[in-house]
Amino acid sequence: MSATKRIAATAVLAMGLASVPALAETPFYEGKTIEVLINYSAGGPTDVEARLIARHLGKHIPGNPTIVARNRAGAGGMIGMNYMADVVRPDGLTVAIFSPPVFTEVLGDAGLDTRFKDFIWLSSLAVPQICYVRRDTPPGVEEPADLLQAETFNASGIRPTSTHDIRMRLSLDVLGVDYNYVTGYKGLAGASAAVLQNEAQYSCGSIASYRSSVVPSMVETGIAMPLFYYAVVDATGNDVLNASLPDIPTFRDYYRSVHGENPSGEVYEVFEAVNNLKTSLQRGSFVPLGTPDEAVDALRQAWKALETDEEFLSAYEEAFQAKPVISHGEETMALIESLDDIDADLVKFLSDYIAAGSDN
Amino acid sequence: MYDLILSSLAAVLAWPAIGYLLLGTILGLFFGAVPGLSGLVGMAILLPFTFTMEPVAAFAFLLGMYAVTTTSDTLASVLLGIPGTSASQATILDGYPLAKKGEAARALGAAFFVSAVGGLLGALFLGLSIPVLQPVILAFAQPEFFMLGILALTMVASLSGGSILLGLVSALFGLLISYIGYSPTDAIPRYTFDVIYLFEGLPLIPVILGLFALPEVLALAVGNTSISRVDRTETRSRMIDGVRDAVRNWWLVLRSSAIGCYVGLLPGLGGSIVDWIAYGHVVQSSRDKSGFGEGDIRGVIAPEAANNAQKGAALIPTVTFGIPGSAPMAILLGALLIQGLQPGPQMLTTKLDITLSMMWTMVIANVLGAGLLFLFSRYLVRLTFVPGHLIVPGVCLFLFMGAWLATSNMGDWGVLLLFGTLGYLMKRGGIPRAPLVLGIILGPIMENALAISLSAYNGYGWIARPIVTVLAVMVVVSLAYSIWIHVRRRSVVPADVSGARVPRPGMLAARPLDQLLPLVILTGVFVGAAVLAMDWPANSARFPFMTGISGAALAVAALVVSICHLQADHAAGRGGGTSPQPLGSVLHFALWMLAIVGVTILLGQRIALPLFAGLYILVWGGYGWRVAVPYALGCLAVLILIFDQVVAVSWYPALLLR
Repeated sequence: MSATKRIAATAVLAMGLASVPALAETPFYEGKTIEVLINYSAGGPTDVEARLIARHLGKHIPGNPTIVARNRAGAGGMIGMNYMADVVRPDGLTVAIFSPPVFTEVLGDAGLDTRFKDFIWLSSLAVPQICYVRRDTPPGVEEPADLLQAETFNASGIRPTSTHDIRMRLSLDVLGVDYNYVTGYKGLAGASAAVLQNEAQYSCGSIASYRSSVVPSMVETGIAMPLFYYAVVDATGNDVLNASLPDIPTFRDYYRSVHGENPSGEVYEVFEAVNNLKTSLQRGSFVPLGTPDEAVDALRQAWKALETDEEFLSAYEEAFQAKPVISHGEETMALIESLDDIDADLVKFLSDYIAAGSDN
Repeated sequence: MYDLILSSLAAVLAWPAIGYLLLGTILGLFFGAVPGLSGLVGMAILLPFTFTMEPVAAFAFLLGMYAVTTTSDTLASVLLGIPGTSASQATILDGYPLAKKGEAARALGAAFFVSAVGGLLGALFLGLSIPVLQPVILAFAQPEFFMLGILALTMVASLSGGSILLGLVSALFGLLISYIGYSPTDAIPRYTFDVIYLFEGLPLIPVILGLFALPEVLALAVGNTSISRVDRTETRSRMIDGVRDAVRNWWLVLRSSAIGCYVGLLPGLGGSIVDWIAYGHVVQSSRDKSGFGEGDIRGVIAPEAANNAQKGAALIPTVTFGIPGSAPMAILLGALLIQGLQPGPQMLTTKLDITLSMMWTMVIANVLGAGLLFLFSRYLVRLTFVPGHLIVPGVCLFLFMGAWLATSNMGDWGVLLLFGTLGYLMKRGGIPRAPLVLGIILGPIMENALAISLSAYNGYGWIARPIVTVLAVMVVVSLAYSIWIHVRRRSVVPADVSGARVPRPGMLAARPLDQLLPLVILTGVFVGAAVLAMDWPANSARFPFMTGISGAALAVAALVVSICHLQADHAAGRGGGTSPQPLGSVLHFALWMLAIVGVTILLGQRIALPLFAGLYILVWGGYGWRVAVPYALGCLAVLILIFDQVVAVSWYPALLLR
């Protein structure tokens, strides 16, 4: 044991002794097993991220519970949501780490038995998306601003109802460029492969997919260039910058640089609302209403502790090529409550917009 | 370069990498052998353990596991008639009949041997051809995938067992099933009837288990025969015979491995189709086709060589372009990033040692996996000589849990039982089931690829692309060849002169009477599907509507043929033959299956399945408590140790235990 480690150990021990009174009663999770539920199947991006978190969460929960990850996949994440609402008991022993079906909630799908506000939210993770374009898109994209002069290009998507496609179309419409929307590719990897094959010229992807499938084969080889990423706009109207993407402008910065003013109008407002929700709620963790406060507190504390857990942070950064952007307790709850403020016009606009997408 | 090849081999052989490789291989054999588990599940479970490893050890662990799931999956396919993973579905067609003939050992020997050879060739392909493959992979865009889908669909002719008409009906029904769920191009659900289980379409594994395995279990339960209809003392089948078969068919092994490599290379085709393409190829290219479906060893060799070869090749797009062709490869891509490696050209230059170590891992794991199976499978082969009643409950356990692993939803069991019923009716009616699976797998690939092609290339501008043209020519040749073979065989079959029931070509000795019910049902389904599709936007309606219309027409045509046969039988004074299983026993068995579902809803799987096992042994099997109780406890142990502890399956939330 090195000297620094010994000092650190002594410090930990001292802190442990200082908190002896708190240890008088056994921690809630002593000797228990927490089931982490994942609403997508094993091996997908949600699963990989949730399992990584599950692996590190346990050590920050007093009582060191065993953590088991299980999958309840299906219906775009809805089956997992319904399961949490209909089956799981509020005993703190089942914790969801989901990709919450934000649009299903906003558009009010009949298949969803529950509302997001029927849960106690522990935290959420934000994942921004980056958009990129081929440099040889006619007549040639030498620098980011040239996108606006490009001839009709293909923008590759996954599914008309996916937030990937909706945000891609909204942002391109806001910019006012001429594009042809091509959807149905298999995942972000399929959408980026289409750009590599020059079947499409434009697409967007999460940081992990951008860094793994776009940067090495397209950006570094000079085939494509990044344009901007969708940033969350905070309450004061400022972009929340992502520390992992220092060299890429936010969408609003990009818009300002090419149009000389802030984006505005109905389409932009819808884009901002949609993006704020989806980007901040890419992953969300929650338990059923009625879960004991003790359990909720312990879990929220554990989520907070992750932010300073070097082992977790480096594992996360290696896996997803970005620092985790975590919101906690009240912050996430506020986000969930903001879902109630979404007006009927926006919902109507969105469903019409999605339906119109396949006609062009 | 040679130094690098040797030093990367040394890195794989060094401790601890070789230890992880060995451990990974053993785990992979396990994940492959248990139906429902697969390389994907293995990847997801093992990935977190590699975070702290060095790159070579991490990939030795993951790829060691991944390489051999397609070697051991043959065990369940041959011994039980259940595909161990989706890459060994086609192996059942001839592998299980071989087991019925008491030649399971021979089938396994051939399968393990060619798996190792195929795996080796796939790995070498990975190592040798990376530098020259970039243009090939990039040239296969959506139009090429659409044509590939069409080409694969022409395999239906080879998988139809003679009656192309019935094969087409079956394939079209498979296509229809593949449309269930959200349309790939519009925001509308198709054939979901507001059941949210159906929103993402039917999972493949429960469908396959139902179609192929349940009817076999039923036959075992009703007949109480052992899987091998031949007594153990009468067969001299040994694994070494299978190896000899494989060596004798070396040219087929090479061709099948090449098919595996091509399928692996093209991202998105994946493991569930490679076995069918290889099987279709061997049937199509064989002079004597009479033995296929009845236990022709070549029907085992082709898919088993191809499915291992596919894996080495599948690494190429993942490692060199960051394009994962399948879900396990997506996880591998994650593992690369976790190791701080960027997929891309540098994996062939500065990081070539890592890529080569992956190749060596695949080589060693394939040899090791096959070797271990050669050593231990002889004990498993004895399973095929055990009386049916002792096999049925254990097989049911793996069937039900295998289906449950798809989405852990009661819908999985619904699909299993529904397709079990359909599989039973089709088997009885001599309607080939393999084309149905081909339809399910190809449907989304073709529909998606066509919609994207039409949209991305402004209509049919892609038709003139060179590879599309080449593939189109291959489609025409393949079709013409199938028709020619079909016509020629017709003329060879002697007229039905004797009074005895002579099996008709393509009818698989079925009674025409048994064909009527499934064909009537299918006709109704096709018509209904076409009617429902009329309300949808053009992009979403195109395939379902065409499928429904042509399916209905072909099903009616098949009905007419069937009725003609029936009348001919009548006129000749022949009876319809005897039913293979008395209807009463069949319904009785169905009740037991439903009881599993019912008890699970009340008390959960961990009670229902062992309870079923014990009661079945006691009541249906006629054995005493001394057999039933340990059997049930054994089932419980499997559920707890494998499915709860290792896989962490999400159990059904039983009503009485909530």
